[in-house]
Amino acid sequence: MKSTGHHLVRSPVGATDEELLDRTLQGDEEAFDALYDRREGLVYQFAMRMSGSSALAEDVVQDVFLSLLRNGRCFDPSKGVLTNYLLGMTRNRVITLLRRERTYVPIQEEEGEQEISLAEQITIQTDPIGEIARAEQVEKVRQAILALPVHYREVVALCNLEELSYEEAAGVIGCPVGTVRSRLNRARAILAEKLIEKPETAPNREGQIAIVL
Amino acid sequence: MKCWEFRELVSDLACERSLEDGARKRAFSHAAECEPCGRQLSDQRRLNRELLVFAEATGKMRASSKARERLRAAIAETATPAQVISTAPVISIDRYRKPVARQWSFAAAAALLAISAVSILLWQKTSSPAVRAPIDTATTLIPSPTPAPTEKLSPSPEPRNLESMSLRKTRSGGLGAYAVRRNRIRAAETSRNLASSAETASEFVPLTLAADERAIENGTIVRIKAPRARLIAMGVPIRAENEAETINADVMLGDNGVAYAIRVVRE
Repeated sequence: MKSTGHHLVRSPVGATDEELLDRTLQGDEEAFDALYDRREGLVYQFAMRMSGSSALAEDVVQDVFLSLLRNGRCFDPSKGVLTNYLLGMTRNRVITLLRRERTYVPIQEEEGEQEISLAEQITIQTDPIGEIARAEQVEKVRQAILALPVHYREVVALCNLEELSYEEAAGVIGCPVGTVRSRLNRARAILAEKLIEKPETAPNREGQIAIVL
Repeated sequence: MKCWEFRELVSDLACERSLEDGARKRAFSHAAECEPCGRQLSDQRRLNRELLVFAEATGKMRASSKARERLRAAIAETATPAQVISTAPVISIDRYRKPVARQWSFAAAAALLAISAVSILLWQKTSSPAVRAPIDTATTLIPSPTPAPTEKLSPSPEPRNLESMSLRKTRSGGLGAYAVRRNRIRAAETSRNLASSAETASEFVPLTLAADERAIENGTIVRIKAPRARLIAMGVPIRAENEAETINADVMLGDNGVAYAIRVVRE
């Protein structure tokens, strides 16, 4: 606890997201830094999973937190938690930017920037030889998700990756629960078709295709 | 359970989301009996594992430190004194806006400003703060917004038919609002006398900024008697002594009933 003027204020470490936002809107820089450190990853990851572009994701992070500073008083805690509010803003911003771009931008090095690809990030972090295949599979999943239409992609990102309930995801997207459910079903069917290898076409360890007689 | 019913639940089954007990049992029973649906459930469970690995692998991603710096800079650009302000340089936050779109945005903003300006001008022209009631000795006329530093009357010859009446700026040069040229003034329909060669009259003092030339052209001049204090309050440049004295004045009324100008008449 620290004393600021007339009353004691809880350290940002123990404060809830809503408390940090409230203090941020009153001009507390430390609270804003704490909130940013705590939730920047959530916003960035969701934007990355939706867009496949780190540059776009970083712009979204900036836009979302700026918007939070400007319009944070619009957040109503009775309607949900701040994380879902952030996800809603992220989702809207990503869709707006994707519509401008028309296509998603895959992760690749941009001119003048030494950007590390997702697969390289994973292998650098863990680096056993066995992780290379895992990294390639992760990249395959990423490509499959990014190939989904946006309205399928977002339900997979929210429900399966962020582990939101149908109700929470419906609140973020702004659609009925039944819509979320049906879209997720359809999206997962498409992903399974792309990612799950059928036994008759699965390669063996030596790379040869097994022929089912 | 039918296969199409099972397909609606297979995702929930694989993700172990809550289902009604009866529905869950029926679904598992169907999966055991129907090979394609059983395979579908198996595929969905494998997909779960793939997605879980993907979520763990991407769950540690963070924006770069440059993103934080750009955010600080953007905050500095827009922060109010009540908020925390840093002195970082301003950096554009929208790299994805194409130049053509930006130009169109500027053009749209300029067009909107122009339309707003024209609308305000038109509104000022058509609206009138003046009253439309008939003028009498106790009428409330709109006070002129200009200061009235001069008090002396400046006699000006007035044509008997009151044509070519003009409103000029006051000596103070206050309003500079308008001048009416070559107006055709109809004879007053009231019983009041108009200024004649036996009278001296001051210049007309504008009472409103909105000059509807058409209304003035078709208007009339009405003779009133008003207390000196009232005329002073309206901005007529006359001396303040003997405020209760009643003074003759001519009011230029437009055909819309608006009082556009007033002058003092001394016999």
